[in-house]
Amino acid sequence: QKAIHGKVISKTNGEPLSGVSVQIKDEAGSFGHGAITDEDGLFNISAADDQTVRFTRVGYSAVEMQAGSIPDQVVLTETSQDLDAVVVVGYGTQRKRDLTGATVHLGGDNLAENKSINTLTNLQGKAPGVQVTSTSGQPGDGVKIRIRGIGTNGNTNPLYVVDGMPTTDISYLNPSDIASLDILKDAASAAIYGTRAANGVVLITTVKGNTGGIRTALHAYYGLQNPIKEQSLLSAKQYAIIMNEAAVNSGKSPYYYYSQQEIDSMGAGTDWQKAATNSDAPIQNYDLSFSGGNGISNYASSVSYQKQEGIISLGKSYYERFGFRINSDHKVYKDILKFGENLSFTHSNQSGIGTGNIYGNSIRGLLNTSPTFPVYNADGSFGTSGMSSEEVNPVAAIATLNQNKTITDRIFGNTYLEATILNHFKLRSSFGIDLSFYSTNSFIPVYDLAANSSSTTSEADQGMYRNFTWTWDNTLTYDNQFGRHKLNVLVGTSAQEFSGFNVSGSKQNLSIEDFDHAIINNGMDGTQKAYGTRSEDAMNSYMARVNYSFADKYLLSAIIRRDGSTKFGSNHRWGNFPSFSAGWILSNEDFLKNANWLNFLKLRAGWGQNGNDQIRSFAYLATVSSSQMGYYFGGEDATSISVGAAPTNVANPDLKWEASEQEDIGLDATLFNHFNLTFDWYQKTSKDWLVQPPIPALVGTGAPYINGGDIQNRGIEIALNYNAQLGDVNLSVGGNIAFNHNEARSVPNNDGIIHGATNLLSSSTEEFYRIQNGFPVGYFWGYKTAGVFQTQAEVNAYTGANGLIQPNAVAGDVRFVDLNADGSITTADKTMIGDPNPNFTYGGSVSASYKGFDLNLNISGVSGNQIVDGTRANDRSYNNYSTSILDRWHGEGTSNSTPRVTLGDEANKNYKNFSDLYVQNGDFMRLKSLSVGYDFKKGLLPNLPFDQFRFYVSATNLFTITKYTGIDPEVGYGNTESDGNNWSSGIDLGYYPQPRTVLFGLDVRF
Amino acid sequence: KSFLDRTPIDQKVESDFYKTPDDAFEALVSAYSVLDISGNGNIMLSAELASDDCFGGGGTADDGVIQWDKFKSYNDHNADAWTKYYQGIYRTNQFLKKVDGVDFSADPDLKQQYIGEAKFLRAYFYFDLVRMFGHVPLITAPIEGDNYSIPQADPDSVYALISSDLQEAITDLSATAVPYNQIAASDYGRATKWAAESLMGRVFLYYTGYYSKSALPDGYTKDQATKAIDDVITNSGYGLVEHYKDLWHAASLSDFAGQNNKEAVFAIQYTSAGHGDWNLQNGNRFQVMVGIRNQVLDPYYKGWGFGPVNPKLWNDYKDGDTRKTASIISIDGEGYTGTYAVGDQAQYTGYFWKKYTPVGGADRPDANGGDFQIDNYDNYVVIRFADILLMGAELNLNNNLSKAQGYINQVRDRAFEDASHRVTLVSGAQGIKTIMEERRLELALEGQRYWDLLRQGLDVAKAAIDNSSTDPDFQITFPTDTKGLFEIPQTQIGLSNGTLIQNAGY
Repeated sequence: QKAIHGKVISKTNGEPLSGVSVQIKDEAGSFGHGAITDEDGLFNISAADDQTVRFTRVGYSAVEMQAGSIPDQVVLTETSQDLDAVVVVGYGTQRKRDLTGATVHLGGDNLAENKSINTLTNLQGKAPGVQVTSTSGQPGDGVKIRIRGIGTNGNTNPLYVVDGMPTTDISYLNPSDIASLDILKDAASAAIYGTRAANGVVLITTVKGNTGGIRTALHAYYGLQNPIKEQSLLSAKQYAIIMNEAAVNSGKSPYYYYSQQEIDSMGAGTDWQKAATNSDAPIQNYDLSFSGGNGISNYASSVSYQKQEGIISLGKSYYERFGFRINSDHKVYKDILKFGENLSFTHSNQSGIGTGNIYGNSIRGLLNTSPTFPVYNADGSFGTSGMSSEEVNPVAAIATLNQNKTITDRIFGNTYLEATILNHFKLRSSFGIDLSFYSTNSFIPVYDLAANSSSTTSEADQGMYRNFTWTWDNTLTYDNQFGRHKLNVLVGTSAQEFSGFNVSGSKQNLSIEDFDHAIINNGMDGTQKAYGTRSEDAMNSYMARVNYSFADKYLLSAIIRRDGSTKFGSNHRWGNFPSFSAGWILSNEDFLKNANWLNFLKLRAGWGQNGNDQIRSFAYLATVSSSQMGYYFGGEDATSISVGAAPTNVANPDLKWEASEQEDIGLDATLFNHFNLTFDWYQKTSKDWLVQPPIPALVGTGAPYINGGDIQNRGIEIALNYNAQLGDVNLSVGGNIAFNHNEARSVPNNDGIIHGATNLLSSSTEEFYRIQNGFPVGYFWGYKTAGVFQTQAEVNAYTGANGLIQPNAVAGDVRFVDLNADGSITTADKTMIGDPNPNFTYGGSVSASYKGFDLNLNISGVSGNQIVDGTRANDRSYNNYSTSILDRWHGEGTSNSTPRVTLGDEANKNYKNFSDLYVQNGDFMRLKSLSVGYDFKKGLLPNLPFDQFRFYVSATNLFTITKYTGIDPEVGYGNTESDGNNWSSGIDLGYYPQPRTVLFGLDVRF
Repeated sequence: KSFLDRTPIDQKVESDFYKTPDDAFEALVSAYSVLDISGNGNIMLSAELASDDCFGGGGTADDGVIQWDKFKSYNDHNADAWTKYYQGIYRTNQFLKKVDGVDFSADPDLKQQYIGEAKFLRAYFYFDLVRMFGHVPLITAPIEGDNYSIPQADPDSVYALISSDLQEAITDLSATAVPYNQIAASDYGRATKWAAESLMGRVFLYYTGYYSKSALPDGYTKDQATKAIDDVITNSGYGLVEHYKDLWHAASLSDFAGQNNKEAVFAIQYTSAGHGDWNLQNGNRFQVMVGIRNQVLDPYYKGWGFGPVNPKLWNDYKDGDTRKTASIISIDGEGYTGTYAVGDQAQYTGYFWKKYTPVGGADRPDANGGDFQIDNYDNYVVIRFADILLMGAELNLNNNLSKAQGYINQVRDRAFEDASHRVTLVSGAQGIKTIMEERRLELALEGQRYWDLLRQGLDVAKAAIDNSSTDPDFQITFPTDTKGLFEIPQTQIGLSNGTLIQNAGY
């Protein structure tokens, strides 16, 4: 036996861990007494080299190793499910054991697994009931988050609170800076954030310093990204044959477009997708952090750089971010007065190609352009279409029309002063700022791509936007214990003010015509335009919370928050948001105390109301606008405009808060030592939505914002985790699943419908998604089809009260179902033919380590949702088709699912009518990430002067299982461009896909 | 002021507006600005496509165009027009409601003039709306509360409002009425007593023709209408431009009579000052629609090829009639046979509009940083002096034949640039027929033909519009069950909670 000295630290932050039990395995195979680590994580034991030593601490996975191989620093990994973990609950913390609401706690390590530079993407599949969908795979583009289904027709994003400072945008955050992330899903937990909590709250805590020597961590990775798949489109030869066939079907002569000779000489033609692909697009991340402290002052600082390039079009889409962070806290006077700050600065550059709706969508161009003309002519100029003077070379369009750059500088953080009085009272005042500047710059050259895509002048656009928010929170906490009674009381106030200021402008006919010189002063006099706005919002709040527990068995919590906002008129300026919740720790009851299989069991129930004020400022007023109201008396000869002014909308002085009311019943359990189970049932009703439903045009001005309608989300969430130490193998397996049922109720319109936009799929398609009483939000509304008419006799036999049901149909056309059996196909036959909301979402993870090796995988998936495949624009007959058109009807018996091809849409409106031909199942399961690593410190080179020296290889989006035929089933796009249509989703109009990434990384700590 | 008491910084609020005469003028201008709106919502274009002057055209893949030509139902067709006119009606209603709160004590005459202009505009909007749709909700004050389900009114009550608005406008605008040569250039485009009297005549003729009545529903008589038109002819100072072709920008590049020449009794003012800003609506957006599709054939600029002209119209001009080549571009006739390519032009006839076709070269709409689709700038002359002469001829035909003959002679002589091609009017139906034929040739492609057909009766309209052809593209059958009315946009019917009833035939 020999003496062994060592130190135990936490993997999460490298902090020394006190209270770790160090036990030595005796000959009988049981662990005897050893030592407990002291305040600095140090321990002394004596053991033989071949004896097994076990390190255990509540909240951490146990580690076992041979006494002879104990390193200088033993690293313990935090288990996020642990009951004694301290979690952030808003204006304070609580032990997870004592929580009475439905929350999810994720450690920073857990978040880092998915290797995205976007924190939110890393959440995918990790938390039941939290659906994360990319709105575009383009670097720097956003994600859509829905917590417990869609509960509003406005903005569905949750409130983010970073170190106590609320914000709506966390794109500036470097994932490595995050120590933990807590998601408040139910109303009882979130009520402390009152008005802004209706979509849930995500609390983020950044890495803080701890007492001890300086600790350094370096994280670096470099990877290559590639498209996962291409849409399968017609080759030039197939295309020519199909176009000729369409011409014949539309009454034109055979070989209308291409002669047999031309067809014979055709090959694959141009693969536009391939032509635009940027293969092996790099993604890279480097960050370096330092932390430490002397017990009086602690600090944690980091500096980081990330860059991701897009997989489409070299150099046209990228996102680059540089940032640093300084967090520190100081004991100013004994243990009584404390001061600190959390401050970050981020600088980012972003450039992108067109995504979003059908106009200027670069991907849509790649999927629709006919394959029969070359990317470049022999002389190097861009190829032009022979099919139509309107058809644009999509590669030329990307190169010409997407010359833009956005630079963002953001300072985000807060500073606080905290006084502890009479041991039990804590007074805290925190002042936070969120200052962001962003500048936009774009260039339009002189170009002539097609008949309606040309410009005879060059143009420079510049914009500068400044947004500033300050928040001042003051809280007083009282925390005490009286025998078996524990009491924690919080009262506080919060004030917040937002101000926005922006200017932008443009000028044409540049003296130097390129993007680098696209500045306004290079333009010709007389063509300049200028725009500028200013806006302000403010909020004032009061809150109180009481947490009470008795005998560690019975838990009670009550919250009230009162908010006032400038977004509402004096009639309804203030709103109150209460909540109550209770918990019962059954496993502490005598009758269960001795149940070996049950380590912990808590039942919880809560009720609460949250609010939402996410509408534009002054929506309750009728503002008088001069924009687009002027007239030029004298016409073209007029030297100036006569200004006009009129109200832009109907006023509604009674506009009030949108409220979300939610009940939640749940349980948390630890079973058989290794299993953690969380179960929740909830019912969430969003009431009095803030909505601007369309009103009849005869009113003559814009619709008022009104309160109305309910959306109900009901569901259950289950998460099960297994953690164990099996010999040298540390294993953790987890899975979660969340079912949600979504239904709109009492839509306030006359017809009970909030109508979706028209002309979304192409320039003349009817409305096809809507919110309607009794249906899921954004459901797809259209005709059912029942195959294809094989013969004219079938058309003639399809009769009803008015004779032929489809008098315009011919053989090969779609048979629409006359749902109401009135003998005609009318809009009354339209019904729900799809639902973009999944029935359930799920995620799973496995992480295992063996000696120096570690393995990690994460999957995520959705099920039961539908996608509208609107990638082909059917209003341009010459657009290319996906190869599924080869299964079209072209004679009796050839197809009963895909109608004949025609030029334009013939009288039967096979595609003009929105029908289930457009709708596909959107289920998918994706291996989000898989990584394998090796830590030399734990393995081959234990004497390295590091705490960790880990290499890894990691892949994201390695495979996706789906039946969706488009490029990517993760279609986060809805029609966000149309005002107030944020609630639409699952519409594929040509979508920038997620890349598949393979990356190599290095984690070093010392 | 408390922390939460705030008002918008960059916008006015309704309660602080409508105080000064300047505010009132801005409110009035907002109603004028509606006149400029939209290419697809332009009654002039829709009515021409529906008439026998031209076909639908556009691209072979375009929808919504041919449906106007062939009287077919189409998804949310005419939504732009419906929305536009109610927007204009709202703004005039809002003005008329608020104007009494404005302090005009310094200049009471100004108030009267503004009211006259607002009433003219309201009548103008309702007249277009009721002609197009027949059965429209009648709204005479801004809607308060949330009752938006307003049933369609009897057309007679709409015409009664139009008539009384116009009569009041004539009265209100009399004090400030000056002859054309005294109108300041900066006032071109404003409603005048002359414009109101002329519109009164047009309303009278349309209503009494289409509904087979002898007077307007409020009792306004033919005598009154005749007096109004005679007043314009005698006293307004407007008159005919010497050469017909000089009226049209594309027909007369060097001698163009100007956007507000002495024949433009009421013209909608357009400008290219928007410089490509799609949010603005001050450019003439129907011009790009009628331009030659996708091609620049000097001196004309490109467009979308709507409304290929019916060869019948081309052929019906007599030799020596200067109006033929001033109104129509003949691809062969102007020597473009080799350079012009049909491409995806739908319903190609060999003839395009010359009136209102965009002009290329240095005058092209995108020359100064504009966009060729939205920055065309030729004024649309809604009421032209020649039309007033022909209305005068029609109104005087049975009571004062020589006066009528004098009026039509002016038109005819100008067209042929001599006095030897006159037509002789006779009282009664035969004379009306002569006048109608003259209207067709004189006012071709100016948005009048379709209404002139309808007011002669549905059978006359059908006979003119029906087109038989072996080519299915050109087969057109006027459905009399529609009574010539346009389709009410489907979305508006949906939003009306069943209050709005679709016109027959759609």
